Amino acid sequence: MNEAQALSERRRSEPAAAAPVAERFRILLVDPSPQALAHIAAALAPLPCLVAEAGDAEAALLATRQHPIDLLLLRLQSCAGDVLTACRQIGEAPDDRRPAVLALTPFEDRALLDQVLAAGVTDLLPIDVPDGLLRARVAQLLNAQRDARQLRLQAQRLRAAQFIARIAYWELDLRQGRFSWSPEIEAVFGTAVWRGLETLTALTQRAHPDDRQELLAAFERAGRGHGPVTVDVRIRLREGPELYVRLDASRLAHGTDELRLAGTVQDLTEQRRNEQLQRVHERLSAAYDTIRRDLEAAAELQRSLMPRLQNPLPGVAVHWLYRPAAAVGGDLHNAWALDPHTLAFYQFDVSGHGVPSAMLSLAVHKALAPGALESAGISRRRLRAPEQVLGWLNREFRSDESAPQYFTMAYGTLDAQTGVVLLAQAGHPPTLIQHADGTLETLDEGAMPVGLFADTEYSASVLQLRPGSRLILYSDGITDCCDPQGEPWGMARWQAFVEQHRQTPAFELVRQLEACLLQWRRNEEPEDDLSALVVEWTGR
Amino acid sequence: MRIERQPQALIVAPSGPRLDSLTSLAVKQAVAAELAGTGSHLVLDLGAVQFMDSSGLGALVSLLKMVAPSGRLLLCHVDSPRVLQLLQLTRMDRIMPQYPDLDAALAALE
Repeated sequence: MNEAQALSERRRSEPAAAAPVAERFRILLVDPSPQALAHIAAALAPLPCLVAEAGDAEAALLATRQHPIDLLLLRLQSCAGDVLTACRQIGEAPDDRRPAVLALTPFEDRALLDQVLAAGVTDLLPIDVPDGLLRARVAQLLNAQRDARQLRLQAQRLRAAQFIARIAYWELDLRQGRFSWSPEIEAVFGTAVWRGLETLTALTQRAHPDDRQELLAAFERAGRGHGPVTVDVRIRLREGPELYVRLDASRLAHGTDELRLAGTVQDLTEQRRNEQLQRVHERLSAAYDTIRRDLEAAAELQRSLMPRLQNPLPGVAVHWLYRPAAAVGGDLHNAWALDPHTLAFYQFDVSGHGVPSAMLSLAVHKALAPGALESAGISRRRLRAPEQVLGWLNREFRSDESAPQYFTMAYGTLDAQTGVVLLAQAGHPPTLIQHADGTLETLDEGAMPVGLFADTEYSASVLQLRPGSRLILYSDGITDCCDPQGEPWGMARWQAFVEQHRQTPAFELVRQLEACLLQWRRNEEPEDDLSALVVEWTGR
Repeated sequence: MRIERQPQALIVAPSGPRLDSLTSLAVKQAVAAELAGTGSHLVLDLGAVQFMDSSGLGALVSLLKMVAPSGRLLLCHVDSPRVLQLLQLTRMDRIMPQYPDLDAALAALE
């Protein structure tokens, strides 16, 4: 027999209004007699089924392997051992593929009846059953199959939902204090250890000591019928971390189970961890806000240290650029009248960035503040000798050997009557001297930065300004300012900029300098402090 | 960062193009761990370094103080003009002698 003959499938597409079967099922008819097969197929025609036919056991097994079926209908005139064996095999399919089995046999053959029953059939009908009864029974069996399938599907969905919600079911016999946990407990908690908690005593012992009383009180309330009661408990299982679980408990009110509690256990560990992270985040945000406010206050304080006067002496004008990379910076400058005709000015740049640099910058500024020196017993006369100022600062601010913090500095004095400048530099970028006729000089006397080596000695240069000359002091944040490709602005561009702006008033020069550097960075915030101090001498 | 121990000196070569507050810390920690009061000389190969900021310079001084008083700090492969300028401006070139290559630096220690 070839496959096509064995499995002539008849499609029944027209819905049968009278039949209670609501969906399309597959039925496999097994009988060696083609006439009998045709008769049964005709009897089942009103049902919305696909009916396949098989003449023997081999064809039946082949058909079930190709398509899962919902009902196997055997017609057995006499004992057919191979058909019953096939029936058993088909009955061993997994739950969701196992068909119902209906056998039509002569009821008077008791031996055959026993064999058929032993083969695991679902139902029996006499071999000469009327068509209407056969149809009704088939419809009934198919509907039962459908209901069972839906129940299995619901159970699967419930398991999935429980797994996602990390929730499992339990019952507790209060008289014996014994739990029974639903099988999901392992899927949810991923461990068999929970199974060890079969008694209320064991569960209580595993609970965090601070939570035990509350746990027992909750179960007692539930036992008195004040249900449903919810309690959150920290549980430590035999292995693994502490778990946060939520137990919901209610008294079972039906039947004789007056002393039984039922409820759920839900794993809230991850949720609780997220809540804790959220709290940490909130604390960090609050701490950050505090720091930000402190920094803003510090930045305000630092801005207040800028030179008080733009014209501290007749014939002298002071302008500056000050743009720290962070809220506070390590660059500072000042210019003030030492006496009615001498200006003191400086600029320095503390190594590193941010708050540590800013703190040292404030200390240096304070040490040089007018009035501070006298109270420290330092002669005011020494402020007129720049090399001595640097030497003194170098001793005052000697840094810790393990974490050197130092600063580069340019310090000078200007005699407003003669235009003579004394200028000492300590590792600071070369000072620019621009004259009214456009010539540009650089003073690039190298020297050790302040605070690195105890025995450093500094020297001062003497410069003669001409009316209209200006000194430009700046930090390396200007020349090291990089464009997005990492190209530094550099000394050549800086000098060209100054030369181009020789006619530009100093207050405008510093404004354009900032704009030019920001453009160089394509408006990205600079990585280092940008600062420059311009001291202009108009002469008498 | 490359660290190499030769009989004459410990040789440390920072690998990144920047010697700044971020990268110099690792160099300082590595040298501190390797030297640990041995009094060994230190040769710093700056061949890869294109930029050094104030923190990088501070780190050089830390290294110098780490090897002192018995050891010496030598630089080699200082090729970047910006790094050279910084060393000159801060007079570090006077206390950290420079050599064109590692062999010359090691020979100077003989």
